[in-house]
Amino acid sequence: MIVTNCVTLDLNGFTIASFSPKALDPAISINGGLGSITIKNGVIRGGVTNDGSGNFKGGGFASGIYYFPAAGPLIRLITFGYVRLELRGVF
Amino acid sequence: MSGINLGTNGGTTVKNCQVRTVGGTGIIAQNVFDSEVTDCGSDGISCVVGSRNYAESISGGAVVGVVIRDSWGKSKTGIGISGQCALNCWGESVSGHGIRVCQAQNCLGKSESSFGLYATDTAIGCVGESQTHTGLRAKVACDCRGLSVNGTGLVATSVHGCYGESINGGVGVEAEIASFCIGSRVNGCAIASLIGVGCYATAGTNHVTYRYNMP
Repeated sequence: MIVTNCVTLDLNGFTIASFSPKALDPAISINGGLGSITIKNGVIRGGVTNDGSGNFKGGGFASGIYYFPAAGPLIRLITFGYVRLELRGVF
Repeated sequence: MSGINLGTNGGTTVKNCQVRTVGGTGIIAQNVFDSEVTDCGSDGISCVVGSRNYAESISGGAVVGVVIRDSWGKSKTGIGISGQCALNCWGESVSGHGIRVCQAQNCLGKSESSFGLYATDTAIGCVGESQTHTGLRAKVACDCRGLSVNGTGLVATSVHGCYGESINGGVGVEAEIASFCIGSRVNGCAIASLIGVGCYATAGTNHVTYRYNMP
């Protein structure tokens, strides 16, 4: 959980993963009203799969990145360069 | 449930992100740039301003926004690209509209069983294609092409400089006012309009009530 302004979370190519049977919480949550937040360079991976017919099942994370709604200043979620922020299998 | 949910207020920006296999919405933010969403159960990208994005969804809209440009949206049952303004976009859907916006410019919309491109206001320089429904529908269409296999090629209140073709089931161009348009419908009605100016048919016949400067 990010609870203050001006935070850069560089995952440095690492993966945040969860294969919990229930998808209850986000992988990264940001308190509402915060600003100048950058999350970059990594992978967030949950356990949700699609059976090919649009039926999504599995657990892991409820959201990859969740910003609690609140009126506030600018928030930026930006990845730079060729390294992307990837989210896979999020319910 | 969503991949990235920052809300559509407060200047939130998502840039250069990739989201795969999400049961809900892929990305929600005010601005979304250079991002990609695939295998998404609900809307792929929901934003106010979106640019240079690619999104695929199953049941929701692939790209939903107010101003969308240079983007590609593909949906199975939802709308490929939907919003207020679309510029240089490509929208595809199996059972939904390929593109549905108020104003479309330089866009291409394709659908199997619904409107290829539906502009509730203006379409300029656009192409709409559909298998069983209307290829392109707009209030005003300029320099557009509407193609349909079993439906009407292009339907609009006012069309100018457009081409409409129906292969089997409908009319090439259907409008109240058609000017400098070309229609095509083999063994059928190429152009159906109240007023026609400088229009002609490459196949089929025209049904124009008031003809000006045309055969």
